[in-house]
This record gives sequence, C-alpha cells and structure tokens, in this order.
Amino acid sequence: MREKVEKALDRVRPMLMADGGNVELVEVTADGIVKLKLTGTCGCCPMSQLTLKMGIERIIRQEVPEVKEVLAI
Amino acid sequence: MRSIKEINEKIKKGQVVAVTAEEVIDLVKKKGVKKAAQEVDVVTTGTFGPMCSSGAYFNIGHSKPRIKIGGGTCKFNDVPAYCGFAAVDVYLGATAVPDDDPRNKVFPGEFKYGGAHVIQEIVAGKDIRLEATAYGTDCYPRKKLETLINIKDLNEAVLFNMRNCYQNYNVAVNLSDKAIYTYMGMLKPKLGNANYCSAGQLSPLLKDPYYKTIGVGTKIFLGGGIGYIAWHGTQHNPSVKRKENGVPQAPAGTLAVIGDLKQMSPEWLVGTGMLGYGVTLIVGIGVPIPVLNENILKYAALADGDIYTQIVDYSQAYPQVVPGSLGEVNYAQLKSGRINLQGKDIPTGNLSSYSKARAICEELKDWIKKGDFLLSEPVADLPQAESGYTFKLLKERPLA
Repeated sequence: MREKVEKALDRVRPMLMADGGNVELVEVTADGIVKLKLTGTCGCCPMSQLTLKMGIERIIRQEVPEVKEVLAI
Repeated sequence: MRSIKEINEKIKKGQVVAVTAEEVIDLVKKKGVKKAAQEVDVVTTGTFGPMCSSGAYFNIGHSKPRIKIGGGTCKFNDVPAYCGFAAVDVYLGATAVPDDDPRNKVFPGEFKYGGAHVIQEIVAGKDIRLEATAYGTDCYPRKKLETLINIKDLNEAVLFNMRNCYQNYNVAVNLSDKAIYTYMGMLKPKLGNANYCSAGQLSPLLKDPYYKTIGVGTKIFLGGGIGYIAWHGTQHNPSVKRKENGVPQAPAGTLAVIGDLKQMSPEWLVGTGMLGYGVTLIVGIGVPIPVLNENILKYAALADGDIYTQIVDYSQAYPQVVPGSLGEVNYAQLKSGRINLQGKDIPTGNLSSYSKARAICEELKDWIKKGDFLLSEPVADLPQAESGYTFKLLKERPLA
C-alpha cells in the first residue's frame, strides 16, 4: 500500500511545489491511516488543512481506496 | 496613448499585446516605462483567496402548485439560505452553516460544510437537496417543497459577492500566550507565525491603486467565467495612507462583483472551513488593466518590494479595535518565508495562492489573445482616494 500512496503523492506534489510546498510520507498503518509531513511553505501555510483534506486526501483515497484517513503530523 | 476601443480593435484582429502582472515587471525594468507602454496594450492581474462576503442568488423555478418561499424558509443541503424576496428567488451566503453544525461549541470548530461548499457543488453540476417551507397564500397555496435541484435546470444562478478583492490586507500575528483561530488562520502564540492574504504584485487593485481603469462595469474573470464589477465593495476605504508610489499601506479598496454561475468552474470557486472561525469561499478573480497611458503602466509594473502592509496583533488589537500597527513589511519580505518583528524571526504563510493567481493572469491573457474577451469601458468610477469616502465603525446607541 505504501508504494501506491507514494505514487498518488507524486500526482499531488507538482501542485504543492507550485506554491513552494511539498509533502513527505511518514507512515502507512495496516488499518489504512496515512501519516504525512507537510514541508516547505506547506509547513506554515494557513490553508494546509484545506490542502490536506480536499487535495491530498481526496487524491490518495481516489487512487488507493483502502486508505481511510490522511493525517498531517 | 490608446483607448479601450482601440485595444478592442487589436483584440479582434489578433494583434493585441497582453502580458501578465508578473511579466510586466521585468519588461518595464528592461525597457523602461515609456517603451514598454508603447508595446503593451493590456496587463492581466489575478487573485485566488478566501473572500467571505460572497454568495449566489437563484431563481429555482415555480413548482406546481406554486409556493411562495419569500417569508418562509429555504435550505440547500441543510444550509439555510435567505428568502426574503418574491416567490422563488433565494440568496445563499458563503458563510452560512447548517442549523445543527456544532459551530465553536467544541473549540476550535471544524466548519466542514456550509454555503460555500454548496456553491462549489452547484457549480460542479451536482444535485442539491432543496427543502423549503411557506405560509401559503391564495395564489401560492403550497406550504412545503422537498426536491433535488441542479444548476442546469435553474432559471438564474448568479454569483453576487458584495466584498471581494481587497486592495492590500493586514499581516496577522498573535502576541498572546495561547493559540488563536481567526479568519487569517491559526496564529501560534508569542509571534509563532505571521499570516497574510494577498497575491501582492499580481493583485488587481494593487496594480491600479487609484482605480484609474477599474470601475463599475469593468468586465472580469470571475470564478472561471465572465463577470463584472457591479459596484465598489462594502468597507471600501480608499482614503487610507498611501506610499509615494500610490499604493495603500493598509486594507483599502474593495469590489462588489457579479457573474453568471452557470459559466463558472469549481476549480475557481472553492468552499473551505477555517478552523475555529467558519466557512468561506475561495474566489478566483482576474481583472484586465488597459494600458491607456504611461502612468497606468507605471502602477501596473509595481512589484512585491514596492507594496507595503501592516502587521496587526489579532489576539487583542484587532478584536478590541485598537488602532495601530506592530510594523510594516513589504510583500517581497513576506514571500521570502520569514519576517523579523520585535527581534524575532517569524515564519510567514499566505492564505492566498500565488500560483493560482498567476494561473488566472495567464488564463485571462489567453482569452484576450484569442479574441474571446473584449475589454469594457467602466460606466462609473469607484469612490476615489480623494473622495473622502471612508470606512466607519458602528456607532452603538441605546435602544430606549
């Protein structure tokens, strides 16, 4: 599952990088929780929750349906 | 130098020279204002940020038998809309939330769904649940309506935002010792971060600071479709202090905008919840600036380093309406990712997406170059810097 999530993140990264941000995959748990670290400008972006839920989570769950939730740590 | 009519002739012939608000900066640096003004016909500006005073009105069509929702109640996917109009006209505000939303009962509230999300879903072509109640009349006997609606079936779906596109905005910080949740995002204690909200050198009103070309009737990019400036926005405040280059040093002009929602796109109208604050709509707006003379181009070529704004404490000063600024910074400093305040190095974050604003500038430029977008002549000025028009606080008076 980790590989599939990484692949999905590769789709998200160009959008984040356009605003100076990026994302690191920290952990994919057996029960489908994806833990990410938002980096670059995403780390201090006031809109990062929107990016996480409406952008990153939406795309990951679309590509990897077994993922239940995406969390930023 | 040239008129809007002449620019439109060039657009029709495919000969127009349009550049973005970013491209024009380098062009003017390289060629100088005089030469660049001879070459460039239009500068495209753009912004994509949260704009709470937004909403849309709809005429949903008459049901059989008829219902007079005016004076009754109306909800879209449980989000209440204002229906103090005639039978089937309703206005849905971006910040409206369902009656059973916990709001800030468990602080900070998440505000997962509201009017802005409904607007985005309507624009995306999704079916929306409409529930309305009415008191019933002889000519409008029905008292209850529950149906799915879709934008393609509505008579009118019109985005009408009473205050968008702020000309400059505060940088928000928090001097207190606890985290606070504001419309400027979460602010960490003791100057832990600084949030700002502007496209800076791409932002429409910052590139025409005296509203010499932008006025009532100006045709714009709105939410991915075509819209118009309907009026000056609420809280329009052109009289604030300005730098020598004409740029206001604090929040100043605003725009009220209108456009056909049916032409718009969910990419450029995005509903979002601000933690602990509420729901808001992120709106994409692009405004063309016709280069009518060198002076207009000089302003349009202002860069982030020329545009200054004020740092304001949102723990005490803002909520208690205490005037004053903790300091002044420019957008080049803000965009560098760090500013220095009271001897502390503070990370900055922008609520407004610069990359999406740039995409709007490019899109509008493309429309103009392809001949799909002609410029309009404003039919009236916005209240000007010297007009005395200003933003007043509420004077409270006892009821008795």
